[in-house]
Amino acid sequence: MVFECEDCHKKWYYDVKVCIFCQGNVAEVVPKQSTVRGFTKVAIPSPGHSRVPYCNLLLEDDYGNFRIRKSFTEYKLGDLIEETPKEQKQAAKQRTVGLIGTGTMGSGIAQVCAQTGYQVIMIDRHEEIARKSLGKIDKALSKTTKDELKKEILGRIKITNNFYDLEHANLVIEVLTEDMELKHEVLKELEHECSQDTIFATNTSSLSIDGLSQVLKNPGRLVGLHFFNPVPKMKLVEIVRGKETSDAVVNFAQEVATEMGKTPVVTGDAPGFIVNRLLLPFLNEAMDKFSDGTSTAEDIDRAVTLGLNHPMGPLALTDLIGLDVCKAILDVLYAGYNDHKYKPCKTLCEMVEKGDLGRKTGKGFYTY
Amino acid sequence: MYVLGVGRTKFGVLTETMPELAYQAMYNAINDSPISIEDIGAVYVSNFLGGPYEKQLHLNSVVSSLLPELRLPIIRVETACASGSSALYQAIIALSRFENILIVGVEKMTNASTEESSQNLGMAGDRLADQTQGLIFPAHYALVAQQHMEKYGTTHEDLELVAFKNHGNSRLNPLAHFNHKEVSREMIKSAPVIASPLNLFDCSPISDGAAAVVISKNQKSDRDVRITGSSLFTDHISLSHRREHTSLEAAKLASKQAYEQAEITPKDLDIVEVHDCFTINELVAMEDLGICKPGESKDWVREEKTTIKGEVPINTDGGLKADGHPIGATGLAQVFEVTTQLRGEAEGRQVEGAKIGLTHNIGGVGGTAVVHIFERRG
Repeated sequence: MVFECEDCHKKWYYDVKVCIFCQGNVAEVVPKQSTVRGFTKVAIPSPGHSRVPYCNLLLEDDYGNFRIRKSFTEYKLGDLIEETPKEQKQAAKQRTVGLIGTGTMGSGIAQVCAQTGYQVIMIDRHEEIARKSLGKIDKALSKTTKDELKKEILGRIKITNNFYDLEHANLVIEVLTEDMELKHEVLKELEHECSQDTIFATNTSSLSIDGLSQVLKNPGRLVGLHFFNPVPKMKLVEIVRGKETSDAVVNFAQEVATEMGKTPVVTGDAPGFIVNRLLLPFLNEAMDKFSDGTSTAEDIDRAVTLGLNHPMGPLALTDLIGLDVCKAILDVLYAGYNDHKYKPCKTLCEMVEKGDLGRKTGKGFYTY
Repeated sequence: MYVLGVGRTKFGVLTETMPELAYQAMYNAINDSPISIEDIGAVYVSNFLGGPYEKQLHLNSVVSSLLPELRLPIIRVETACASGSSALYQAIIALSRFENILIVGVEKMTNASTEESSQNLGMAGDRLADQTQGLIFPAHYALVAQQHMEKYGTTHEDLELVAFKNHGNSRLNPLAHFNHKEVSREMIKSAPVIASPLNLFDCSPISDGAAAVVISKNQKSDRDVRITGSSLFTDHISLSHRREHTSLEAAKLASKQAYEQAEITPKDLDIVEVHDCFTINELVAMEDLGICKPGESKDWVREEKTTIKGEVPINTDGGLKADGHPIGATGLAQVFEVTTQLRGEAEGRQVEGAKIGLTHNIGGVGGTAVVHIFERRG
């Protein structure tokens, strides 16, 4: 960004507002297009720039001001690049996102959406529950965000219990419990209330997108948008393309995920998608290993954190996710692939039956 | 040598970036002086943690970007929490070459977690002797406080009096970090322990902010304030490398030299800004500067001799405790306050008839000590 004194025309690359030379007003100069004057292709990763190669472009805009830009697209010297006009930049930010369900995931997604600059509408049948989750977001933001900015972010979140408030939303994400019938009901209601352009997404981790979209008149508008817990921290979003999901909808989902600062991966509609299909057999195996009595939970976790460089051991992770949730996902994988390797191990089944579900009940593989 | 202009930003949790803050302070200082930015011959930048906090070093060149096309000689000075005064000390020496010099100090500290802050600030201590043992900065001064209490009978209540006074003063300083906050004795007393015997209210806050000072070889206007003393001494970096733990030798030496240069004694001081990064250090400073005898600082605060209306008003802007401690800016904010007081422009917190003022700025736990003395002419 370039800022110029309206009186003496000195230039800054910081938003200094007023000129130290002549006290004139300093305003941003917004270019329409830029020319590629130089480039280099970077082959070595660095923190914050792990995906290589990328290009660094030296751009000259139509005011003769230069700037550096990172790009994954290659250009030649002299190529013209259209600059995004200020209004359009803001338009992208002015998306409205609806959220149905206000649990941990729902409020996490709402927080990140609002931080991105989106208008957020949170829906819960009980407005009080939604208000509670707004309190949670407030608390989470307080740790990292200054009061002024926090106010601004929270100001973008509206709470309602009326589906018709979602009429003009660009995207509605459903973050309800994994109950096909409940989700069907909500999707039907959404299709009734929202404009034809509203895109629907589901944060399901175990239900099939095709199974969900069958109740829609236009099943092409539903896409899986699987966030990970804790949403503000976890970088990945799995974008799940159902058989009917349109390309435009998949593209839109990728765009939104990127705007939210996440890295999207696209996968087809198969049980467990990518992460859970790989993770759950691993957790299952760790539990099985534990039950053969040859290693303690601590040692299994220590071996994995130090030997495989995982940030957390599998048994501690199982406790964190919840044993019931792990079992439910394994059940879905087992049923979906009909392969014995996904069968929940005996220890898991017994512990779930006993009610030792991990952190949330105070007891799992560890005591809390 | 004269101070021609002073300027600063508000201190606190701010939205501006580090360059924006530095610019605001420079703009205000130049505007406060009778000269223009084109009259400046060189700039000194003071900053402690731009690298660890903001991933920004080479600050002299950042400041060059902020002063387009001037291409001045600019140098960054870093002596931990004494960076601001050290930059001023260096600039005063450089007046042999330049007629006018601008000094700007800046720090951006609120974009990090408390843990990161503890680690970053710990860099002012010795890596081997202190940091590897987890001696975070409150713990450095907690050891000093404990020694002081053992030796002189100072109590935590005395420290509470220092915090209470400085928070009260900050209510009169619209630019102070805690200007908005009403603080009671009870709040101070019942605050959580940080490193015993110090609690939260014994510690200065993590603040963003910037301050700038314009100095000159010659007087340019009636508002200019004369610099009569400028002294910097150093010492072993770790408390554990020294035998004396209830006073800072470097501060004693720096003040002694500065008094000699200014040809005054502590009795002549009308207004003093001391480095109260932790409340105990205000007491230690009073003794090191010879304002009172060793061990007597507790009596002075009990008798309210250091309030704005007291015998020797200390930290009228709220001090590091309540004005805030954006490290690179702190030493220069002290100069801002003393200059404002000596000019008679401190409004609600004005010390009547203040003619001679002193600033006391400490790096680490006394590894660097810088003292300046200022005098109003006429």
